[in-house]
Amino acid sequence: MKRFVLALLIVTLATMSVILATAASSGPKPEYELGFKALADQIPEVVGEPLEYEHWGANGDSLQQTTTGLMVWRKADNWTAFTNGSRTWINGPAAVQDRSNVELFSWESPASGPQAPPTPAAASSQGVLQVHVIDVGQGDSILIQGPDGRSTLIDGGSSGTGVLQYLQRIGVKHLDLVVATHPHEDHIGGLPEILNAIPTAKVATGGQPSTTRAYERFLDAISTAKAEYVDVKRGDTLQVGPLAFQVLNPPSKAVPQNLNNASVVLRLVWGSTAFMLQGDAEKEAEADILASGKPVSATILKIGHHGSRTSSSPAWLKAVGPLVAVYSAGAGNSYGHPHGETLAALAGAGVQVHGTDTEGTVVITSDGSGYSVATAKTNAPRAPPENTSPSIPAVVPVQPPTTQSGSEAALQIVSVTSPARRGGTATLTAKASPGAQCSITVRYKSGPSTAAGLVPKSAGPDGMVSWSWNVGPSTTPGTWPIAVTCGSATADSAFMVQ
Amino acid sequence: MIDRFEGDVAVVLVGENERRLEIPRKSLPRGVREGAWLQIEVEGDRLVSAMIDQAETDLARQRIQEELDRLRRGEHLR
Repeated sequence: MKRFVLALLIVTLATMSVILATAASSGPKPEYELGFKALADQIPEVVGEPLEYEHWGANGDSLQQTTTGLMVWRKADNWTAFTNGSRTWINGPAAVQDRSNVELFSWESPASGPQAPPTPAAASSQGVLQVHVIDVGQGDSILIQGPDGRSTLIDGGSSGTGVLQYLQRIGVKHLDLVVATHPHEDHIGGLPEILNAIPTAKVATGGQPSTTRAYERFLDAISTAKAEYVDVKRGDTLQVGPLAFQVLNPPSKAVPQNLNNASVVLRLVWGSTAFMLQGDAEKEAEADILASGKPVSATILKIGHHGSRTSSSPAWLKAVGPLVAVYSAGAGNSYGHPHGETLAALAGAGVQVHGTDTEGTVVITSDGSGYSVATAKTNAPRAPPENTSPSIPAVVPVQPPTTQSGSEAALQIVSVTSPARRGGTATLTAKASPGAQCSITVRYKSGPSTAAGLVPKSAGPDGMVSWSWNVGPSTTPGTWPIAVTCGSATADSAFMVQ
Repeated sequence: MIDRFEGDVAVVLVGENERRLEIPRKSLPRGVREGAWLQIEVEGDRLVSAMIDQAETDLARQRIQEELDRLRRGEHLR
């Protein structure tokens, strides 16, 4: 019974990306439809108003967040239910009946109800972590939301680039921690407006000051906000609820004079997924971190200095060994970020690259056993480098599939077997636009899988497409990336092989 | 004041509203550092002349260091 409640919580969190993104999207007001409408019409006060469009959850359930809870169509038993977090109302065989979340009606099978995807209990108990690399044009701003709802913001972009509006739209009402990686305006310029508007408990920096007015306004805002101020150094840990950010830079002695190399570099381990967030740290700082002997391996790397050639040395990329690299840069920026050499080095290492200049805000979700990457836009051609006017785009919400239209409809990975056993089979199901031509690549340590099941397929009339393949008995255990392409849309996922 | 150098480009924040101006690094006085305050003359986005304002830079450094020390001691929390 306890397991049921846990599973419910996980699913609620697992759908957060779509929920949060939808809350931020504009367009016609969402309504209840079909089975959700039938239930809502019977208990309108209980379910409240829809906050988003109906969409697919990771396990094939259909979900819709409301002002008071969550609507769910349960794939497992075909019932429609609503939960407010403690009680569940089910439009069952005898009309609407309600019960506590820890109970089951006799006609419900124990396996029914909102469930997490098939993941081991240990991983599920980790909960879901989300990392938003926010599109701030040329600059950096990264929001990390832990499974307990606590929020950490790393940098705030330049002033007026919409980070505050993004945080407000996705419902961030309190910041437990703000980290300013270093005092350059494209990282701290936007922090005063955020500190003035959102209660913040603590602000951490690497302790290296600048003499600009932008930096002084940042200090003034910390003072006015009455946020605790701390300097952090290599070896420190910044704890935010269950999240432990390991501080890898600046070094504890002799903070570099070069402000980029004085950047706070953080590593966050979440189950089998690890994040490396390196601010603008350049090759000298990367070498210094490697020399310190601290663990640096990471699944997801927010590469240094907007993809500049002054960061991402071969030794660093090899030691971190990311599957996914993300950079934040403004389309058509004057500095040529990201530099071609950096992108080539990442491509050569087989790393999937996402950038805010071409894809808008990038959201990485991890439940501790695997991860998925969602982007606001599908990858578009990079703006020509001769365009010297840095654009300041509005933050584009990640759009759920139900609000997409036309042939560009988004692609969403609905479920994937994780963990999969060596010698067993794995299945991935995705939802694309109906009839879309889809292909899949599973990349192991040895290279792309050549399993017979991984052939191009067409999505069905409902947009669903599914692959099953054999995981070879000698496959190297680990978490391996999966890329799905349907038409012009791409989606990344990963699964664990044990 | 100079916010940062991006390769050969200096990013300068101009005036109260910190308008961002990107100018070739080589058009600035030799030896100029990030954080330096400048007296500049501009026509549109074109730099006509630039001179380091050492006095203003030193004042800002001192003012900022004092504020940072206050924050470190937590005086703003009392």
